[in-house]
Amino acid sequence: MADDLKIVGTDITKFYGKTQVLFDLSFEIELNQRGVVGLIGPNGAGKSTIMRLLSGITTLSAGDLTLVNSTNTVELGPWSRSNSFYAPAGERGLRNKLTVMDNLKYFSALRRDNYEQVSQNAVHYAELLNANTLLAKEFGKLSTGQKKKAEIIVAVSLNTKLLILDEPSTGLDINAQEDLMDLIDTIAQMHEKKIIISSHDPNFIAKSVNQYLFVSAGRIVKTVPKQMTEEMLVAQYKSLFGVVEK
Amino acid sequence: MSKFKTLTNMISVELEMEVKSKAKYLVATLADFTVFTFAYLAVLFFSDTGDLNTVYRTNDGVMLILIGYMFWTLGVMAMDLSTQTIEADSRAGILETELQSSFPLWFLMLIRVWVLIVLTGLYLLILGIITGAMTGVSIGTVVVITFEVLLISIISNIGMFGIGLIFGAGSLIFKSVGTWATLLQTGILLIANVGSNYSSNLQALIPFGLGIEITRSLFLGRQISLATIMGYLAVNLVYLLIGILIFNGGLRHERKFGSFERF
Repeated sequence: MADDLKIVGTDITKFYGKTQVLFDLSFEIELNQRGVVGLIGPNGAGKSTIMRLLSGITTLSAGDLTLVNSTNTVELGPWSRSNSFYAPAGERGLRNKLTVMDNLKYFSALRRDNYEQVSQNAVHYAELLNANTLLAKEFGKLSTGQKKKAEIIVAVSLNTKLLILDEPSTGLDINAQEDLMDLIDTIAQMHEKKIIISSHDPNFIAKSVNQYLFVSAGRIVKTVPKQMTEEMLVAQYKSLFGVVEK
Repeated sequence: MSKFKTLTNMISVELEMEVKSKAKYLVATLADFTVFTFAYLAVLFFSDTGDLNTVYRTNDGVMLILIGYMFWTLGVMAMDLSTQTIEADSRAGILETELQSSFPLWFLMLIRVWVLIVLTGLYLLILGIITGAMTGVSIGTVVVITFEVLLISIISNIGMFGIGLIFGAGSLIFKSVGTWATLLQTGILLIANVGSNYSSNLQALIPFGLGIEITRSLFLGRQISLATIMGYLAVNLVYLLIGILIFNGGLRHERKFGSFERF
């Protein structure tokens, strides 16, 4: 990625039908700095809506969402559709009747990736998540936690510059959550891949995230451009949103 | 990979995955075919075979109905696929990824249509053999008819797929349009030349109207006019283009005002 590449959102609003769900959001996300951006806020805050905009799946109702470097400013959507991967929240994101590897084959074809290479990635990341046995299994027959792992393995294995993970820890037990954050940390540090994750669980994302966007009721209520300890993050979450959700 | 290679790779992977998925949904597919068989029996019951025999100067009226029914069934399958794919894929959460692909969604659905068409073709062959056995038509003749229908219906299936895309756009925006699609398919069955003769040029506006007549003419060993062939191609091309335009408009609308996730 270019040295000074960043995503710039300016006065973004978004309507679902006649209902306004995002209100005048402005933010910057540096793509050249390794690390993880955390979208944090309670359920229904607008995190998934922001992620869909960032991945180019949906478009703005008003405002600007651009990709900026020292010489150029272009609309983010078309770039994102080629360079990002959005993994939705919940037990969703892969074809139910296919195995995890078949899903990987399908998504790599959709993205024009080299399947041989991404399948090697998948085997490697599955080992890191202690999930080797999942690869040959049918997605629809996996448990909630296994489905989440499978979805993450496919997402991180594909060749993308921007990986957008919506509530990736939901459904995972404590050990699996730790494995997942280790994996996200490893990918963020070792690869040319920027990761954006959303969570309503500050305990989960404190370890790896180094830029925070706190979201509430469709607004970014605070940004913190640095890593925070778990205690600091929980305190910040409580002061902004009240009770910490699990 | 070159553009051509990525395109052929996408087609082969989509075909492979659709075959694997369909194999897992065998019970649902068989249930669909059972419903279609009842529709076939209803068409046979309500059609006037004697009238068909008189108009077409033949004794194979039942086979002419079979040809019409085959076109209708394949067309319905092609039409339904858009709404089914959109509803199933948004529930599964993969519509988002498919929308991020540089391959248009309508193109991915068009590949899936062919898997469904081949499967339905096998069902129609069995139905044709049974019909042939009951009316004294040889298996060889039924195989030829089925092959000709599958080949000629490529054009009308594309047209029906185009109409399906219009419903697909509706499905993106209004979420559930299946009932309206079923109503239209039933209406088409009643007014088209499926169980009757070609009696009005308005029937040419139905995607498979002229396709049925072309295949019936082939079966009866009659000449087919160039105007019929050109009309058949033109009608279906128009439906496909209108379908793609409206579907892309629906996608743009949903990108701007929707989330693709409200099922």
